[in-house]
Amino acid sequence: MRLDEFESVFRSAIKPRFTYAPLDLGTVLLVSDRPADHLGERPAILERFLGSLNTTGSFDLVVAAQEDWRDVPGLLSLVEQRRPGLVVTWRNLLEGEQELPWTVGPVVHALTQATDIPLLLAPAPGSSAAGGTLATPTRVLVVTDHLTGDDHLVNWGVHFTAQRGHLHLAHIEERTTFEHYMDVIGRLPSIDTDAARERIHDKLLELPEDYCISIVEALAHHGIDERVVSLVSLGDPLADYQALLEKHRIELLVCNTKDAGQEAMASLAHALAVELRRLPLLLL
Amino acid sequence: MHEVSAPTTWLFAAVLVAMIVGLALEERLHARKSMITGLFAVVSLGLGAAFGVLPFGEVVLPNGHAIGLPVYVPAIDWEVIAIILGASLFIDVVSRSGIFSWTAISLTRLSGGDPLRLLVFYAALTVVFSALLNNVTAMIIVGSLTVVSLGKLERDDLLLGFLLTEGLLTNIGGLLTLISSVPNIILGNKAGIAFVSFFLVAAPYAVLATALTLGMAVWLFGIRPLAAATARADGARQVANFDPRDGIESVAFFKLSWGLLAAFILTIATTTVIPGLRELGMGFVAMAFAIVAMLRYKHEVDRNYAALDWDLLFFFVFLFVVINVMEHAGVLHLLGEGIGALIATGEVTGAGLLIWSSALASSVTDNVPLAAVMGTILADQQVPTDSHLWWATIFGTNLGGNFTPIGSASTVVAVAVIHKQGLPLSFVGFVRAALPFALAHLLLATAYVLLFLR
Repeated sequence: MRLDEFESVFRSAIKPRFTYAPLDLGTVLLVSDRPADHLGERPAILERFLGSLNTTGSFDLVVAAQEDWRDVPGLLSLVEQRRPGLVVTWRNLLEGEQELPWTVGPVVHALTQATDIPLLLAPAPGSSAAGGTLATPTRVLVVTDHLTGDDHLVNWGVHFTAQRGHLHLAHIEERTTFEHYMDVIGRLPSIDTDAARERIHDKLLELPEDYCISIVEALAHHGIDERVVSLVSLGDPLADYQALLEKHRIELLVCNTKDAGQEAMASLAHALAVELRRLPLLLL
Repeated sequence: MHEVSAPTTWLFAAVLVAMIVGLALEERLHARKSMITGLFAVVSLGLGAAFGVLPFGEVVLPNGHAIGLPVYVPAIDWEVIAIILGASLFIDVVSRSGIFSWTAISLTRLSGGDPLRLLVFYAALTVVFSALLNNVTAMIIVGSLTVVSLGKLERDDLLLGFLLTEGLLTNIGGLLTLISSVPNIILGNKAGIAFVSFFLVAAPYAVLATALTLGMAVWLFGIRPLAAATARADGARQVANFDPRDGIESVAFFKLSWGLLAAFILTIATTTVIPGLRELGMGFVAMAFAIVAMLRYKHEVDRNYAALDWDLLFFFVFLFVVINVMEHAGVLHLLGEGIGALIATGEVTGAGLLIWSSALASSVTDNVPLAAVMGTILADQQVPTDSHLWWATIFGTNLGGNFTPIGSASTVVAVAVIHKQGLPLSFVGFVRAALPFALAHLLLATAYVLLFLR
């Protein structure tokens, strides 16, 4: 019976299309472990940065300095009370970066896992590369294992990219997993291994590519002048993302921290956040 | 006609009954149709030779030459085989162009995700696809699209009602043209009904029965349109994700396939009035279009051959052999006497009894042997082409399939789709759900035959 064949035909015809949604930040919470009078230019820099973004409406910048919270539960309680649209902070709060360079610190970890509020992780305060400043990024990289249908992630990337900037959308299918399945298929006499390899490879990459096309169409429809660069391939996600960052001189990385593959920020997002200490990260 | 003793005729009648019972129990026997009829073809030929009922000898051709052919070769209705083989190959090739999936997906998008509009569109699709393709392929295409689209719309609660309605409508669509179902091909050929004449008689009934089925489905399965504006917007957004162009590998072949399909229907419809084609027959037309369409995949035609339903083709081949042996053994003459008695009850009663008895018989077993037997009997009795008795048989054999889940190949597919989705539907459950529809279809057919075709 060709039932399964036609079900596949129709399932294949379902192409998730990107829906553009405007972004209204509302309240932005700047979290620091320094006293308010030691923050220097940071609130002003952040205000300029946020003001240059492609968002709708105005925003209120609220500072949570050392005197406003003592520990992680206190900060989470403060965040819950304020319900900001975005939290901005640094790595290794309440501890020195030099002491624990292989982690983002418990505060950032808690903020990404215990709340559903997007977190803009600025470069470490002492980082010479970032110079403690935040410029409107013209080269943004959005990374995910499952780009297709992730409108939320892409919309944040769109709004954090400067007008006429480059929005890079990366979807790297893990080659080792693919090869593992191909190895199993190669042991099944009823399946043509070469045909299966070619068709599964093409279908795996076709979906995110089609989704990228729908993003280009939606942005053009809404008059958003950004160049979308589709980076869809088979490879080693962590190594490939790092290579892409260098190749495209990326200024901001956007990624999920809570989807199925990144539970407890233990997977890709965590690895990237720890490795890329000089790059601003937008963690959703 | 050979002189055959009554006990011999009854022995062969018992063989025929055993084959029909075997076909009815196909699922329980875990045997394909072709194996059952093949076994009975071997038994029938063996017994036919042993009892001396078979006309061994040379076959005289129209040009007067006599040639030696095995007795079972002229027993097969090769015109029917050529139509089924050619049409199956042709449809398989053009379906690879994506025209059917494009049509189905375009209608899904046009529905805006509204369940009522979706049901109306899918009902129309089922009827048209059943008429153009065959009812099994129609059920597979529309049934699988239904599963995917209702899943996407998160309306799995409507799945059973949709699939049942589509399963029942395949047998309505199967009535639409001379080549829409095998009983039509067999009975239409035996009666000598032209393609266009067939369509003109069957189409009004098919339209009425489809509308009636839709009305009943909406009422019995509680299928309502989306009322809230947000629900309508959400539904429209969901179906907008379907890309009708996804299955189109080549735009040129896609366009060519539409042209080929139109030409195929036009040629089939006019075969009986075009000199040359009239003599070559619809089987030639179907095979010719299959060959032309396969030129697109000339380097991989084995894929088209592999897609053929060989079980179905061999089923017909063996069935024709069995029916031919039964004819020589006097079994069809015996049945003809019974049918003659039925017809003799009067123009109205006879036709009515013919519809309902054909329907009841085809509800529990395959309608193809029934059509083959009935076609031979009515032809032997020289029932004229325009007689309403042919139509009583055509309606009865097609519509009987709606009474039970084993009544037609397409209802078997509908139930398979339902079970694949994990929906519970027993034999009795199907009969209970389908009975109001099947009765309504038959009552409408009876009224139609008696009021308009007599």
